Amino acid sequence: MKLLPAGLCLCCTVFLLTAQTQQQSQTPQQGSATPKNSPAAQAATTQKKGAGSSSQNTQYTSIAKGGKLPYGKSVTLTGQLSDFKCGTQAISDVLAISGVSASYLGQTSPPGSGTITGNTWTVSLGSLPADATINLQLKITGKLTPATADEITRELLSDPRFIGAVRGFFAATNDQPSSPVTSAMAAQEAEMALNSISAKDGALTQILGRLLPSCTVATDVTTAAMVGLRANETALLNIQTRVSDLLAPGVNLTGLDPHVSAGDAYKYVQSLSGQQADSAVVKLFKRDYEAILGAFGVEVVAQLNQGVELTQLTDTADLNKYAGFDAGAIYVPRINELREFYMVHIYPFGPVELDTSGGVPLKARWSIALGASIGDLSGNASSRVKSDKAFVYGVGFRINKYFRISAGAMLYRDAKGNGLLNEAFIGPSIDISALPGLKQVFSSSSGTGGNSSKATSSNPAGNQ
Amino acid sequence: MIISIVAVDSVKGSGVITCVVNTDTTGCDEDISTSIDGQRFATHVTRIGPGSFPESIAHTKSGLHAITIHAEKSNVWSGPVALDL
Repeated sequence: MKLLPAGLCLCCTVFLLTAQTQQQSQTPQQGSATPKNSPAAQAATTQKKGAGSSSQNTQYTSIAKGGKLPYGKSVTLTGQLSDFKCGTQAISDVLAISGVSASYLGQTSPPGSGTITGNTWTVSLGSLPADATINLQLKITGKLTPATADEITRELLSDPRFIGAVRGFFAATNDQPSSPVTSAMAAQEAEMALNSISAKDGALTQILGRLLPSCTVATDVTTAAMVGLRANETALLNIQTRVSDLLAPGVNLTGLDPHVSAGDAYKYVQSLSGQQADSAVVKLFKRDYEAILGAFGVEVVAQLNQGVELTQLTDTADLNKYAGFDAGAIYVPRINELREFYMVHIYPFGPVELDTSGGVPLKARWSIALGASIGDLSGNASSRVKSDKAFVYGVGFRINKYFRISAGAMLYRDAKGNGLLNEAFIGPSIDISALPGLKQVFSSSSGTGGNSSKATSSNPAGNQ
Repeated sequence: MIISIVAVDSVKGSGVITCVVNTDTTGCDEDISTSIDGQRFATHVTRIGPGSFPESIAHTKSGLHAITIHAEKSNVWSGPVALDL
């Protein structure tokens, strides 16, 4: 427990660690539709106790849905691979995810590398500051799934911009005795054709961008994809001619639509057998189509390990407090006095998050109050309280982050009869230690987002 | 006559462009040729009756080229392909 502001509290370190080890273990649980503060909603995190240190597992789903990250202890994010989404598109539908790492803007240490076991991933974020906005960045790496590679190939080969780029190549390299085209010129034209489809508004860029909307994936993948495609540029440039060859007079492939796409033609030739399947025209088409397919399925994949980034904005929990220091006014009806008082409010069920937005468990609002009343506010010329000094005790009820209602009794020496009297009081107060700059007073060195309305499944603040 | 020329291909460095010539019932007796760097390379094809026949044209070029093969008498063109010769 901190008894002084953080800047003056280095000597409290041992005590802080001791306080942390007193935390209770909790059961991890996912959930978003459960009401906040319900038992199911209070367990998105798992605390691990250790000698002098603690860590906390936090479900990624709760963070993605607006929950808060705990502060002050080592945080480990965990979830299912299917939890990663770009917009509504599950990344695992597009990539066979093989790696994940996490960092946040402003992090000075290297990004934490995660582990993947089956369909579950975990990644460490380290210790986070309290009450801070965390711009979480997850980098997901993996290979394009075969289905995705097939989809990209089909879309690219039937895209008018791609078809136009290929036609442009052959128009520019139309070799005539009067105007011979050199090998270097042809290579330059091929490069231009490939670049045109990978330009920002090119076919490949848009196809890849559509596959993973809301993620910064397109540029990386496009660059990588082009590296793979360049190795197979002749296959890419020739695929339209290969399809036309299948339809040429004398080839006699029955049942093939004259307007067939490359993708559908590939399906068709796969169904062929015998002499037709062995013909040179069919073999060449299959070779070139599969080279393009392979360019996305293999070469691009290696490059894709540069990763997909998605950004998740979240917050850490506000400071968890063991106690508060209040100043306020109490009304003592029997002697008809309005008096000022100063009290320490101790939270008997453990530290509570300062921020009460969205509601807190009822028991996190109650506190035990002890303090002193040292002056009259009501202008009473002859106060019954001898020397204006009285001991006050009772209970407090937090209305919000700053304000509280206190009720209890005032023990004082009667100025008239000199007896020690006990009078009931009630009155409002403000938690001075909740004010910015002072709120680290009485705070726990670590805490969870149990009080957050956004934390649909998180640890109750008072469980430490 | 030649009704189509398809499956134009080449193995890099082989000095040969291969293709398949499809003929109708009259067969063919004519040159097929291609122009590379403005230079003509040709081969004579004689076939009787209809069918698909593999043919090849020898050349002396290298590097990336757009290749089209022309049946000179039947006036039939293959589709253009990019070949790394």
